[in-house]
Amino acid sequence: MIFKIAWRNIYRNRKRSLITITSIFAALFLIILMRALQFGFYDNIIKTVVESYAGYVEIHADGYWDNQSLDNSMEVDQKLINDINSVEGVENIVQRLQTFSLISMGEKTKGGVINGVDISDEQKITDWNKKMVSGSFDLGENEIIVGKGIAEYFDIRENDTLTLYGQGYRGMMAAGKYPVKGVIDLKNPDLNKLGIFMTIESARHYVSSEEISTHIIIDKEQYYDEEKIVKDLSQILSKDYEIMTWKKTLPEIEQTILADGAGGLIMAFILYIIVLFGMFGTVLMMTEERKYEFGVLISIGMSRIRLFGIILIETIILSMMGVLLAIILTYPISYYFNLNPINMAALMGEGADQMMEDLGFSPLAPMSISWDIPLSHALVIFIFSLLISIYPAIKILNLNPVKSMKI
Amino acid sequence: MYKLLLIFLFFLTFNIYAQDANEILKKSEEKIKGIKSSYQEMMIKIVRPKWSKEMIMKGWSMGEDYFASVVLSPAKEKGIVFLKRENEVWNYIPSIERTIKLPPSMMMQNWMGTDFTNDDLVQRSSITDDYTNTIIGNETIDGLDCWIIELIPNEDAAVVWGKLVMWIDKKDYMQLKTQFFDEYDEMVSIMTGKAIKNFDGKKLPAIIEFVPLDKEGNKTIVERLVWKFDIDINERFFLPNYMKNLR
Repeated sequence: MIFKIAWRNIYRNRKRSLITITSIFAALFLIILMRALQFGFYDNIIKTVVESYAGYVEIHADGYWDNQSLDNSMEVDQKLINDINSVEGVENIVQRLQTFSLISMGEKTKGGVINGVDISDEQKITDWNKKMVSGSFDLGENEIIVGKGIAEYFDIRENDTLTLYGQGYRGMMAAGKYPVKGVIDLKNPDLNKLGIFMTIESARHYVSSEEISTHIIIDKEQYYDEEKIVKDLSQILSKDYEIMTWKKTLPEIEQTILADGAGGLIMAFILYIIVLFGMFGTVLMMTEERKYEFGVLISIGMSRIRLFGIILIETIILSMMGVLLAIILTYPISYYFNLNPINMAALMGEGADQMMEDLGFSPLAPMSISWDIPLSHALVIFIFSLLISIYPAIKILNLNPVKSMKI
Repeated sequence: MYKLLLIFLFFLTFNIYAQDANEILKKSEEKIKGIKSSYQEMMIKIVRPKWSKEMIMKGWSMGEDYFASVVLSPAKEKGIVFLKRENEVWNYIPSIERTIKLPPSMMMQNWMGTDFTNDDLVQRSSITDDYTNTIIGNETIDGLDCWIIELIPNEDAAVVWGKLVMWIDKKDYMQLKTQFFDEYDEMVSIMTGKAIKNFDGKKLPAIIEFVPLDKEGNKTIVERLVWKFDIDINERFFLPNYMKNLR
């Protein structure tokens, strides 16, 4: 009964309803698209940086992160691997052996990071085989792939040999000559300038230890919360290991996202204020306009609570119509731009392309199609409509029917 | 006048003592290095809190300025040559066929993973010229009567230590213990000589233990297996180009 009256009231004054719905719709439409673009961009950054190298969750021997020495490495046995695999959300795991080293060819020398990787396992997590500039990712024993930056620095041609020289495991000296089998572009300038890849067996031989690893990289199932994986893992694993998400291993990315996200939140906040006052204005006008009607209803015996209920439902229906409209219309747009990513660099003008690449980001930003964004903003609007209906509630409770019917 | 005489006498005795200490140190150094040259085979054990490592190497020395060594084991490091030439340090690494001259920035790094720095090995400071030495007491170590000698570096000497205190036995001039102090008079490391043996007619401690006090559980032990003195050796032996021929 109440619902029916509320609906009729909305339908009765179509123009007013339309204005309210449109104002909610317009603001929400903008908020959702803006956030979808932002989150899509962040997801893409995380994807390019995290998935191409660091992994969502990393496990090291305790103390490794603060002192990245081979003496803080670990021996990984089958039990540890089984334990990690038993955690929900873990899709793939892979071991790596990472060590700093001097790289030298001819008269030139520079520093680099050797990554001993498991060629076949690594392809389940990263897409390095697709990023090869030349050569192939199938490495044999004592062959290496170098980052684009290193290749440019030494002007490497095919089958050139690099000399690696550094510290091995437990006081051993590490030195060797390695032929270059390929060049990789990791789409990240830091990695390109430092990265050298070889099989984990070759790397272990280089540092004179046959069983150590420094990293276990965990790839999660899509959209699974990495923090939960960390929590579950820390319950299973002993204190000898440290477990970190990409947020800790790559804090600069998390910070960039937080800073930029805060800007987005401020924009959303401004839009919300516009919506709030738009809604409030309509409700205010409506209450004033309908004072006579309220007076009549109360004097013929309608309870004030019921009357308030009608107003509340009207506000909710109006806002939900705006919200629904916004969600329905934004989804195909987000979906389209998810499949056809927007080139941010093109929008930002000349030179932006290079800048983005220097920062290690891909300029392509597919929009996010996660339902989190529209639903959370719809919830905000819903709460707004509840808040706004406090005003007519107070008016109705204090309404004097006789006075209100005097014109 | 009487007072002046006393002061004069005091300085005189002080001087005699100082000369004495210098004489002792000189004899002791000559004993270790040989007057002209020496050859040794040694085992170096590096002790760390979680692991330890043993190396065997051969070494040749000539005077204060030249020293060369080659690693015999472990197999992975076999053939690595280390050469000290005056104040330069050279390395030859057979697996990459390269001769490397250590830059000054690497001088403070550990020598082959031991607790010694490269700089420790290159130090040209002469115990008798760069330090003012005084006998500060007597003590018996392992039944051997020792002088305790304090070495304070002269102001213009290029020395990293603030002070050294050495225990040298009175009979055979062996350095049985050395304490190293930094410039704040804090003891930073101790070196002890043990297991006295007869090498080529000289009594010398076969084992030298070096303990850095700021790193708990770290220790380097050098054990001499063979030690010969005044061998026949040419200066050309210590040229960087010759390093790859050492075995």
